[in-house]
Amino acid sequence: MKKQSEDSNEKKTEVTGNPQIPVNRREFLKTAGRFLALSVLGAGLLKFVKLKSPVTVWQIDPRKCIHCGRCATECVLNPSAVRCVHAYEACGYCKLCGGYYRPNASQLNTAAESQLCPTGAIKRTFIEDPYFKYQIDEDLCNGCGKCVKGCASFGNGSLYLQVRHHICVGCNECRIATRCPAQAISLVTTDQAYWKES
Amino acid sequence: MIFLNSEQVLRKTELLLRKFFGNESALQAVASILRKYSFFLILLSVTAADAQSRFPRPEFQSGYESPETNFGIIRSVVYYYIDVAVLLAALCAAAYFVLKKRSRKGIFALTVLSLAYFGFYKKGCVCSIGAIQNVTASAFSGYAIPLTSALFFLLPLLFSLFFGRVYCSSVCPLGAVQELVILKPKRLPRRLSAVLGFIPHIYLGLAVLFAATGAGFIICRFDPFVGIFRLGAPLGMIIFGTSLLVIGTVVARPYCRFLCPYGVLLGLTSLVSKWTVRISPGACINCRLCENACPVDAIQLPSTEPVREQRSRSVGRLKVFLILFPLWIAAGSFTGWLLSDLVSARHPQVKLLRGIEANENSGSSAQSLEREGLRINDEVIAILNSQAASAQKKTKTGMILLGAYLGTVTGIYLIRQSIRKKRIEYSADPSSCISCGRCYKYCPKNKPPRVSPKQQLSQEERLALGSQQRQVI
Repeated sequence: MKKQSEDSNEKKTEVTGNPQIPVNRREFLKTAGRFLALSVLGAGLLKFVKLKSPVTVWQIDPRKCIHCGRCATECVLNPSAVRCVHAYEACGYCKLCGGYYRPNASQLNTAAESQLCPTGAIKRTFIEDPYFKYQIDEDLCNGCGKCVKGCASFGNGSLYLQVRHHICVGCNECRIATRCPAQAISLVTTDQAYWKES
Repeated sequence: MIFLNSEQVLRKTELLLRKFFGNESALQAVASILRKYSFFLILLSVTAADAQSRFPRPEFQSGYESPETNFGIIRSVVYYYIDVAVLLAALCAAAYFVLKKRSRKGIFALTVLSLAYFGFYKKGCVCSIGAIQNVTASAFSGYAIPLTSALFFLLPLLFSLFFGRVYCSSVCPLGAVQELVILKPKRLPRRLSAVLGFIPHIYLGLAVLFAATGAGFIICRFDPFVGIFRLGAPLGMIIFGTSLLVIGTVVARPYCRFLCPYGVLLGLTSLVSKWTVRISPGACINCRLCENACPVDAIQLPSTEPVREQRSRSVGRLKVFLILFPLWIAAGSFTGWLLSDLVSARHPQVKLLRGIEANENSGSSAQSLEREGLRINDEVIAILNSQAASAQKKTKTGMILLGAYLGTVTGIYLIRQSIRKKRIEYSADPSSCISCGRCYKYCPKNKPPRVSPKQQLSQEERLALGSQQRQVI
């Protein structure tokens, strides 16, 4: 049926139209195919694709995170795009900080052997007796989460790991997310990024 | 509520200890013992800990004010729209250089710019090839596709419906990096390239299957050049990427031709494209100069030679292929069904469950982090079990469909081979031509280039050579 109609179409054009450029069958099929493809693409987009957000970003849920340390090693970037964040509001300003000192530290000073952080990224400053402020130098931090583990197990849990978006290249598939044992990494829309409670 | 109480008890104990021991290291020793026992309490009281701190925020005498938490920077949405705008502009420029200006230089310059922007500046993400998976995932699961990914998937396809594969010519960063290393492209035997050309269909099918069942984005995982764009990747990725580039010096664009799943889609859409690359701006004079110009073997020779084969024989062969067509589909589906267990074993949920089961049976420490992270108990195991079962079921259906698809591709390929098309001139096959524009300068009818007298001579020599060859034929 279809073929017949195409043939008649072809003949008609040859009779009435410009004999130099007849609409041949191949051209006709091409145009038909093009419109078919256009409508499939359009319909598919409208029906299946849920355009919920313009942009999404990778985020760690601190409540699920178990500070296993894979963020430091599994990220496609070196050093990782995951860094430690300090929520000062939740900090107890302890003199003996579980996130700053090694559990077996012999002396409580700023010596490297007493510190938990392998890169010395945490800066400890005295405020008033017996309180100390802990600041994280994000340029030094590699996201290993040792301090986060320390703070979570003996402290308020004011330190947490998070994907830094000015560093993250926004891979289509986050390699840390596929390796995360707690499945704590997910895509969120930009307006939901960075859980600010913690 | 019992958790909150235990939390308070813990805090009081600590405060007491703090008063009792002036010496902090002694306190620490006690604390480490305390930590051992309190670990379970803390683990259970995670939600309570959010509400109430173990060590309340001190009241500072010195008027100290705590700094704002650094929540970091979120890139403005505008930047993502800039990416789309750059893509659109690059596609328009590519279409202009390929079809209107017919300028290889313009195409080359655009290639370098695209490689710099989409490759080295954007570090290879977002790319249209990977966007196949985002679109699939959003069609089959609750995944919310970002608008940028959807547009990156759609725009090159739309352009190829009208202008052929201009995206491949100079916009795609993966194509661009291979384009720059082409030194001396050799022709591949027709049969070899036909067999290798089957791989992209398998890759596309598997990528869609994995994205649809939530098993991950394999195109991104096995992207060979992303490590080069980021200047750092696992060893396997770098070896794969560099070896493809080394092969790419003599076999032009190996990824584009024998791996790229997006190329399958672009090849299909450009079959019905309105305008495609024409080697000659006017009527072809069959001078044969362009015959070896194409690095990707897309130039089809005119079928001027008389057919030696009897018509009845070729019709008979076509009949056989038409009859075999449903058999290919059936064989493909069956193979897919056979292989489905192999594929579903790669699903992360299934893998996780297997790992945990193995861990329980042997008592090894593998997957111990997963056990801790997911707080494994019978309930979680039951959920994982149902997830893994549904993943396996979906994979089975998907593999049968994938097999049927591959059977269809085989069948169509064979039927197309046995249909003879009459061609009167040298033309570029729209589905495999990547619009690189190399053939333009080989065509003597193309606008004569402004060249020095010395080069002019060589041009004339080449023309003379062409006419000699014609006489020989």
